[in-house]
Amino acid sequence: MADHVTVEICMGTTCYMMGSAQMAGMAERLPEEWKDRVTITGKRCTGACQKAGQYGRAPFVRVNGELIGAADEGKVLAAIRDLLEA
Amino acid sequence: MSIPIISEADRLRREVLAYVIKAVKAGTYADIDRIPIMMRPKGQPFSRCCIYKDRAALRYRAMSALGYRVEDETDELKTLASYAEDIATNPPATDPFLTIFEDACSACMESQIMVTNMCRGCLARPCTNVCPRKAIQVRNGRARISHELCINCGKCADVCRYHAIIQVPLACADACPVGAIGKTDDGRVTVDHEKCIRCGKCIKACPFAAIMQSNQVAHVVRAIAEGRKVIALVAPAINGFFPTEPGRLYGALRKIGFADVYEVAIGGDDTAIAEAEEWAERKAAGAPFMTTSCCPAWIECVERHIPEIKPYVSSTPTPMAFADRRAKKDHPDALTVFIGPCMAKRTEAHKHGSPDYVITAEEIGAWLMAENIQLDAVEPEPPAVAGTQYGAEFAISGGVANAVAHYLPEGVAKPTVFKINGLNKKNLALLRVFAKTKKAPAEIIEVMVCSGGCVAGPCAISTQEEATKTIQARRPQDFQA
Ligand code: FES
Repeated sequence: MADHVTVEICMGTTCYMMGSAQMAGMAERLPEEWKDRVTITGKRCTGACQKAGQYGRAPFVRVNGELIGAADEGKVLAAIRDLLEA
Repeated sequence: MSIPIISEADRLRREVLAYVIKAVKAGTYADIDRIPIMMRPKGQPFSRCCIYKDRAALRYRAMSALGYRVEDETDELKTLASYAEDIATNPPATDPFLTIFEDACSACMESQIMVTNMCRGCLARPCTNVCPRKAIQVRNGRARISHELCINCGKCADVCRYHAIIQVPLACADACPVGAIGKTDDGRVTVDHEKCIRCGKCIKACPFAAIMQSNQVAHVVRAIAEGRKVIALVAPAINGFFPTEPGRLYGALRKIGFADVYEVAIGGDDTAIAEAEEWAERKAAGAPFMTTSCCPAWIECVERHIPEIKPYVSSTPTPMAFADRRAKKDHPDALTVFIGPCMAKRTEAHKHGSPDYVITAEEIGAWLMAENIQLDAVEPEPPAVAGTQYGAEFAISGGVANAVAHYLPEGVAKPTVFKINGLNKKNLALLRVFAKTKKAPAEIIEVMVCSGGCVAGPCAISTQEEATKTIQARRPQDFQA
């Protein structure tokens, strides 16, 4: 079980277009009991989206370093839960 | 709080757009033929019934990205690459821009109230009591709805303690504010283009992405690649969609080849000034009310459904028209391209013959993807012409009326305002009553077909809440809301 979880959302152009725009404001939507145990930050494009045929794998999010492709808020929340409540 | 989501359909559309733009820009048209296979490779998961249907749908999506309507297809063997080549000589498809891939339509059942087998035929039977049409009877231990009598009000569904009664939606038709969506004999979607007001709500609503729009971005990419001078007219909503200062976006637009940027917010100021004057004149002449005119889907609605309200609709040109005029005057040799969140703007431009192209927030976003432009790495650049915050807030429900009030000629009393914030079947009926009775609850009726304003347009990128916040955060100290 982790004490603290860091969520890094790629805010690069491809990721933003493919779904991270919808994750804006996610910190406020976290369950109350998680709020001081989760840090959410934005990241720049790592270039992962630019490999051939990879647009569809964006947006990329890292939860405590673990990479989630085609991420959305639901997937990220599930990953946080696994870490905080496992 | 509900979690904002992006649909898989939105993601696929943007992905296809980005690949198409990349190939058109590079002139590598054969790559476009690979898109369906690249996005749905052999042995990988698929989303429709099989991988082949997914690929067929992607082919039509690419066709619409290239500016064609699915209905234009005469030869199924014509390659996407040759469609791309034809861009050089063929203009993009014109109004109606809505296009349907019929085979993707799942022929959903008509919108109706249905009793499921969770019904226990209980003693209380609140459903039978609450039904205003006496359409429900319990027979053989189960509630039955007479669909001849049922008016789909849903009251029975609300009172059933077992949640046994459900409202089965027909997503596209329920979203359409004007009843333009019908069904073919085999249950597939059809759109009556005479009734359609081009709002694009059905595109967003269809869970099978069977309804699409033909794009124009490929033509713009091509024009720039050929060295044409192209001016971007950036709608204020766009500046709510990207998490950056507007200048960086303008810098990015120059980087991808636009010669210059005009903020449509300046057109918003022009519209508000003219509309304020128009209201002062109309009021002096005894007009009971006036509706705004900047929402093109509203204008289509007036013409197709409420012609009787026409005398009360402002005749002031839209911000797009004003901004286009400015750009064309300064650069008579240039092509002008409106960039906005709206589908109906294409129809407006088509009717007026200008601007030359209309592309959406999605199309420009996909273009930035294709060119791998990171906005935070772009040096901010000022636009050629900037608007005020009043003009910028045209993108938000309430913003138009506020701007008109701000620009009132001296001595004219501030008008009262009634907002139609999102057109639906109900408030459409209300507008009809205003016209008929020549009476409205306020002097200025601000009509925005999209709920929340342009920031909630069918081709928006970020959520309406975020976009609204982003735009309003730029209010100067002396801004009057
Ligand atoms: S934008 Fe996220 S990896 Fe490129």
